[in-house]
Amino acid sequence: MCASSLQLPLSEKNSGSPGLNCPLNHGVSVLDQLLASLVGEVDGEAFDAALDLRWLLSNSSDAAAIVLGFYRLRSFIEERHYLACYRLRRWLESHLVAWVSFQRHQPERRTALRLDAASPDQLHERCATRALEGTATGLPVRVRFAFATPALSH
Amino acid sequence: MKTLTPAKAQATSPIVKGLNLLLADSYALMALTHHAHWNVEGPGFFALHNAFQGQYEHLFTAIDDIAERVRALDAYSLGGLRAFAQEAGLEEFPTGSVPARDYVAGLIVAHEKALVDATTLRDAAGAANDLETQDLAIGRIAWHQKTTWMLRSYLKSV
Repeated sequence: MCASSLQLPLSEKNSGSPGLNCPLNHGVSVLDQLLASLVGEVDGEAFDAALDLRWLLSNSSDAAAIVLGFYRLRSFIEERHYLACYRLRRWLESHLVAWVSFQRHQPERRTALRLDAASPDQLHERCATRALEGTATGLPVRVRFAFATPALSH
Repeated sequence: MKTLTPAKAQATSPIVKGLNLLLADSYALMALTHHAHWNVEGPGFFALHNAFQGQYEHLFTAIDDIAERVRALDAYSLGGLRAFAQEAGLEEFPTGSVPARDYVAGLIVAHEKALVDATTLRDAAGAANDLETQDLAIGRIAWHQKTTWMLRSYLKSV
């Protein structure tokens, strides 16, 4: 991911030069390109899912909702628009992290998101496994998603 | 007032900068393609393994041409893996199992970066009436466009 997009807040629409010079583009810009290509396809659900995710990226500070929105969109478009999905996935992975906790008074452990997990449930499991480094605690694990840096949240 | 030597003066020119950036892009892309060639798995293995080999072999020749063009302009070419990686700014593939389509998509992204930088170089060379560099840049653009088309075609679903 190029440095230019890392410094953009999620809400900033990529209408200027950064996206043009960045190979992965900005997440909102990728969605705009995707929406343009979906116009010609008869798939209302995919279009709605793309619009919903675009709204979340532009207006929401709820990282968990963004992750769920990505998975919903991915379920509709991944086969037909793999490259757009890949760009979105890699872009989100660089902007979001998971925080894992398994005991109330223990500090949370931060871990990277790998959004190639098959489902949100599998994503939770993988985040927990990675954060706990395979340590079986036998305790319920809590996973929450957040922005990688506070400056990127709203 | 400082007097720059010809080589130092050339190093700051948009053409030499552009050539060195394209050199870094191409070297980093060659390494990414090599990585994909070694580790790709799945039903498309033979096609992708062979295609990636053709691509990194092509890039190996291309980077020599780009670096030697820098030298022909009496400047020094960039060198070293760290310098190439830093200058190109491309994301590496993770180590381990990676879906074949992710290799293809990641390479498309890297080719797009090279295309943007080659286009900037072409325009700078054109503005300076450096037709030899412009010809080199045009050749690079054509090859990256063709390779991107092929990689995109692989990602198309039925």
